[in-house]
Amino acid sequence: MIGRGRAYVLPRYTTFPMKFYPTVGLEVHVELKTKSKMFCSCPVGEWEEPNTAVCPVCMGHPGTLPVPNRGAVVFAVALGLALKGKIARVSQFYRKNYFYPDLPKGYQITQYSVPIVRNANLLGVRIERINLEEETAKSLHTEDGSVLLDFNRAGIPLLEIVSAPDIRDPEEARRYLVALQAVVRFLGISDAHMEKGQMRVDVNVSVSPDPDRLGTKVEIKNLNSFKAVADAIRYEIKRQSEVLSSGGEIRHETRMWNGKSTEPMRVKETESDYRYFPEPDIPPLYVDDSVLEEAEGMLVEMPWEKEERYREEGVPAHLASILAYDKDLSEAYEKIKDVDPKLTADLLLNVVLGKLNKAGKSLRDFDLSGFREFVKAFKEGKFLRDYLKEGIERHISGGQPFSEIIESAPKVEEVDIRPFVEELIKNNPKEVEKYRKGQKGVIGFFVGQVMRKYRGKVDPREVRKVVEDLLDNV
Amino acid sequence: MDVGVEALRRDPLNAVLTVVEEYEVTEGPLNGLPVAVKDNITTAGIRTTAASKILENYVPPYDATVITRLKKAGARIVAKTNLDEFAMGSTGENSAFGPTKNPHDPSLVPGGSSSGSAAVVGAGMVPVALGSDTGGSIRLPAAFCNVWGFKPTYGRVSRYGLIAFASSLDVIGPIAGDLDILARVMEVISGPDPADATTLDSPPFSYERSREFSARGRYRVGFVKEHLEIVSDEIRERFLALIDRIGQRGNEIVEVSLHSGKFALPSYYIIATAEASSNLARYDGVRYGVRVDGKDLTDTYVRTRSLFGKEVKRRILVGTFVLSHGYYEAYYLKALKARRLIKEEIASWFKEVDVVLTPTNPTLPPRIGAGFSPVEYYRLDTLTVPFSLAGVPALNVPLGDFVGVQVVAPYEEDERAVGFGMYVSEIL
Repeated sequence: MIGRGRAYVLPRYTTFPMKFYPTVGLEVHVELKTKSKMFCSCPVGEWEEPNTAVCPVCMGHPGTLPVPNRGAVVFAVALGLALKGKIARVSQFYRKNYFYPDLPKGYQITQYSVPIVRNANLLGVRIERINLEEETAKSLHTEDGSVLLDFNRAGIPLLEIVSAPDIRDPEEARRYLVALQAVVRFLGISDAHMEKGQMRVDVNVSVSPDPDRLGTKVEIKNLNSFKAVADAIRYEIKRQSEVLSSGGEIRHETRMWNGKSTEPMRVKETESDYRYFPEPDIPPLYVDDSVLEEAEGMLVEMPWEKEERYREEGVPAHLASILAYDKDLSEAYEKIKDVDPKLTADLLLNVVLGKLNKAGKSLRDFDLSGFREFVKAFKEGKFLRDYLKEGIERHISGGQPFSEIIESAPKVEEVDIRPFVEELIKNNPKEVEKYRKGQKGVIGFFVGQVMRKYRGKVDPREVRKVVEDLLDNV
Repeated sequence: MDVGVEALRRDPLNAVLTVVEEYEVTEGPLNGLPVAVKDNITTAGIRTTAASKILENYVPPYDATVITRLKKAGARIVAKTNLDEFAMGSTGENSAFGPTKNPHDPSLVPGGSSSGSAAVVGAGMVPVALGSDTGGSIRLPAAFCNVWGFKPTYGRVSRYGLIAFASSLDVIGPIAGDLDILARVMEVISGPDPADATTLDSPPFSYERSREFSARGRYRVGFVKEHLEIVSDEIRERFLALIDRIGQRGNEIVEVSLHSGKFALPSYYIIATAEASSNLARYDGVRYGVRVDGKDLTDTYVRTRSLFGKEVKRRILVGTFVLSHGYYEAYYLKALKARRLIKEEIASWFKEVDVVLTPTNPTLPPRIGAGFSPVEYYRLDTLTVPFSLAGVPALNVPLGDFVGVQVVAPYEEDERAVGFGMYVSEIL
């Protein structure tokens, strides 16, 4: 069952003599930010000094034994519940055996035939399984060819989230990943920074001329951003389609993304036999009611639910879909939205974010409560719209506090523009005549004159109203 | 006979790998009791080798739970004892540091794998030692060295700090010249341990409960029919003499059967080697132990792991094979199935009997260097592995002259096995 619900033809590749149906599956690893590691009491965190958050257990010393971390189990169950998966009340750890210097015990403790979560779903993409497992050490290859190992990472709890081959194109893959990252962040179970390796993605891509049959799948590794994932998928679909349409065959292999193309792994991976068998040091893992209740208590509004609500609150659809999937942005929005949801969303996404990026800063460097007061001041009519952008700019690049920015805003004067408009009407009979004949565009001529005279002191929309009103009553 | 702690330094039997010269003694119920410890149990700051070249230089940074508990109870750890490398062997000859001799006849093996622990106790150098038992490694050397040796219920004693051979079978237990001391040590080392997820919730071993059981009298005692068919004549005679004596005391003697017994040895060697192949993967020279550098990573792995002895290599290879794709179902899964059958059959005995007696060793100890085939050596475990697979407690009762009898009790009924041993010791 590969779930080909819809016929799908890739228009982009119709230049080839054959049409190909691409299929993509994603394997995502997410590091959990529990207090302690998966099987020992070493703290989880980011450390300056290598090999300081280690103990005999996570170093794989002789005689040591793994004891599962209940907190990690709760986190795994929380993700399972959030993605509407089936939680296994009893699951089993397995040993995956292979040799590598970053693997302290010569095997990784993971799950196999009975994972803790099965049959979950994210944006319509089926998730076959979520395995609870442990991180390896971090290896650093130095220039002189030696390998340095940091075991601070070894034993950090890890979730392996394996999707079904339900994804059709690069954009769908990207959306899935954005959503998954948002979900684990909203649940508070991982920071999921790709650049820090807290979230890692392996991709399986195949193409097939037959929509009902899967082609030979190729695994792609070394993808360290969502863009890299999308680019690699796009490249690989094209490559495989070209190979097939020129009569070639796709090799079942692992390829590396180098930023421009995929290439076969230098070290040829022999068909691995991991000799999985049930981990005898750990009895079956029971998810009891207390674990389930604790996990339920962690559930929060999911990004797709947020998106829906933001739209109901008046945020335009294209903005809502971005806001709702970004933890920091959505939190910022929630803090300010009662002032004006639409304006808040618009300013955050179209002004604040751009200026922050330009200044090399993040939302964390931005004073949200000050910003809230600033937006509020505008809504109360303390200054005009033009000043919003200027104020944000002054805060971000100049570091000026919003209280001062509000203070020094040019006061909106009670200017009476009517005498000036009446004078304009008197002096421009030709334009007035045009207006009478239905050329409404001519309003701009009058508004422009007013704005030039009262720059920064009047709101163009107000001016327009006055102009229209007076023209109608000439 | 060479006796006392001084003798540990002279070590005429090659039973000692490290003599512990300095120690602090805490006040406690064991009151300075000297304890020798098999060298596959970690001792912080004291070299622990598992009798392997690959761990020749390994000084553990931590104490095994049993060591922590012994120290806290006032025991003194006086020596680390020789063993078959990584506890793989039945004679003590597989040590990288040379074979241990039998204290009662130095031309004979002391039995293994807890060879050094049984030998030092048999020689009277120490009153008690810790061993580990995976398929008979406490009971067989105890029988060959004429001492008490107890394999507790799996999970009754923490394995934290026991260098793993086969995790689902490994158990730490005491070997002693005196059953009371053995029971007192059991009280100290047993009980749940948060560092070992496979320990049972049951409370620590109770000396009092053993005493109560030993005083009860009128037991229903089983013996295993099939086992008597495979032991040597002299063993059978000695065993039947004991059964007679027990029967004469007004106890009921019941014949029990272990139909699945023929599966015990093969399934034991499949499960134990499978687990061992994975447990021994960590000895790669990367983080501790001996590393032999090669021209690249693979070469370093190969050279380092070539330090394993012949028997260890054999078991790693067998274990790797039985877990391999395409063979897993045929070997490993089938062995697990057999294990379940054996466990169920043994559990069913105790509907009719209180304890079961059966010989510990099928034959008298071989000579050192006898050069049997591996399978012939494996057969020395025939009578002990069923109880390892079942996880039930079994006590070796020394009958003397290299012959032992096991007292087998139901799961978690460790006090019953030891208590019946106390009863037998009174009528011997």
